Amino acid sequence: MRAWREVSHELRRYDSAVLAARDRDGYPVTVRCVPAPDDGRAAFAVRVPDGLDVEAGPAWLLCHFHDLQFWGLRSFGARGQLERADGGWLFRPTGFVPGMGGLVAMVRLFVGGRRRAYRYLAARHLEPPGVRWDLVNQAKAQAKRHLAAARDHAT
Amino acid sequence: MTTDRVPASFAAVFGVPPAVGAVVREFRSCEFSTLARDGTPVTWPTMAFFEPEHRRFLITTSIGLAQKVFNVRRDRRVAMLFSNPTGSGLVSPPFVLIQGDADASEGLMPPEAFGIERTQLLFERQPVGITMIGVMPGPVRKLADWYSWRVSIHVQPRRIRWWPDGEMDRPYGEVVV
Repeated sequence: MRAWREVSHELRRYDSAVLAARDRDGYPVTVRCVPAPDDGRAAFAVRVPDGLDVEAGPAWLLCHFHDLQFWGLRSFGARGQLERADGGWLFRPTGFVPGMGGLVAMVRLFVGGRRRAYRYLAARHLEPPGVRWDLVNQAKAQAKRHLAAARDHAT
Repeated sequence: MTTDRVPASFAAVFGVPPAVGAVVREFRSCEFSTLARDGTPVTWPTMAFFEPEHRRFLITTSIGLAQKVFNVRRDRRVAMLFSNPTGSGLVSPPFVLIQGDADASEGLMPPEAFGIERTQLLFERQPVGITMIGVMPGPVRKLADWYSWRVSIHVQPRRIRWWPDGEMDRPYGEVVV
């Protein structure tokens, strides 16, 4: 019930969501949909296109956003179950998974990511490899030139 | 440049409509699904680069965010949905679903392997990144170093489906590879 409340609350910030389930061959299959809250069942009615051989079982719901400049990223995910109901489909969330967006998420990403990265290296007896800032700066300079040329061309 | 040096497009490689190739080329992200240990498909937005010479996609992820890599090493079955056209410049593009088999590298990806061109494309699509790196003091840059320690995932398409105008209630096109 808590997961359903959290998903319901966050879902209001998005126009649509991506539902992931599995098909008859066990592959993930994903569709964009507009989940409709079903308060009584603590679930969401979702439409799944015909012909995809989607099976009931473990599922995932993703909402994400970025602006025209591929910035302002925000997202969340939800674990759950996809169930058949009333001739259609229901997604029943069992766990809310925070994603990107906001200062707290940014700090969580950087602190947690750094800790996991060093753990990954330690488990494989690898040294931190450093960063090729020269390549990054070269790409950055080329991008700036290309963007400026595109702007000049547009005017 | 002679035409034989122009890389083939996704559409030409897999025989899908040009509009489908444009989606793969221009969308800023795709929704990438891998399978968790308990079988749950786990989906997050990701950037995917098509490599025509290998007929596959390249996805990279930091070793600090490596869950999708662990998932792929356990189960190769993945899916990529292109359903968010924001920033692509395309009008009423199709939605594209690609299911495939993935392989994740064991070692870290050398920065040279990602290539200047792809890094440049990232900056062009996300120009705020240019400013961010420019204003980032050295110590903060150091704290963010882990983000560029990356592992590669290659996705070999097995089945490609597309829905014209992004309307998933309509009949879809399909190519099985």
